[in-house]
Amino acid sequence: MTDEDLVRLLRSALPPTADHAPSRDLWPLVATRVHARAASSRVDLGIAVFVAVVLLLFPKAAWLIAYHL
Amino acid sequence: MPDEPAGDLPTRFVQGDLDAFESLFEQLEAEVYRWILRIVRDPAAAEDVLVEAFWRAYRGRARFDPSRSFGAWMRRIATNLARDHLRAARRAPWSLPADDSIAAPAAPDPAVARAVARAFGRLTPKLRIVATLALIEERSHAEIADSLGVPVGTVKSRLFRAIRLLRQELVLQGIES
Repeated sequence: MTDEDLVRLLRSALPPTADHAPSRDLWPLVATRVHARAASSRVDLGIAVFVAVVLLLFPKAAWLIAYHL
Repeated sequence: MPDEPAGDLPTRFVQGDLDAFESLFEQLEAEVYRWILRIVRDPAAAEDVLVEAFWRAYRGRARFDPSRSFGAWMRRIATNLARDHLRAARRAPWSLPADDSIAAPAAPDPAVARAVARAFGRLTPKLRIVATLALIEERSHAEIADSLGVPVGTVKSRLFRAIRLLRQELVLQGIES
């Protein structure tokens, strides 16, 4: 079987994809994920601030926090 | 990829401007979708990969250099995710697309078509992507190399291996020509 035969066989069994577009507007899905990420970032920031405050007030708590990491 | 986004859109995107990101999405969505569809050959999966690709792009926007091609960067992200999809789906047997509307008319002999699809499905995702894009979709080696982030020589060697493996597999299945 030559390379040309193989390619011909492949293209007949698995034809090139036609020009297609998404079946729906996908931007809302992307935007939802972006906003979800922004919300979780604020939660992460809140936790970081909380831990920093705890460490400032109770430096000995560092061992406890380190244990949970 | 289509014409590069004009103006300061890429720069604003890097700065986190969501309007700029939406404009980039609108400009590139169709092309990126078609590119993913060529690889995964499944419209529903292509939509999922597209959403994930743009989301990853936004999340990693700080790593994008606005002086470079946004389209090429986007296509590379999409290609990596499409490859991940193929890896995840590899346990399932490769089959002809259930939705024939993605492709032109198929082979006249369904048994041969199934055998070829089966042989194709046995290729690793790395080899399958190169074989799909080069042999079926007729994309240039340079374009494939750019989308995979590998040298053209790597694309050629993967294509060589893919052809060799496909030929061996088809001969095993009794298909000689």
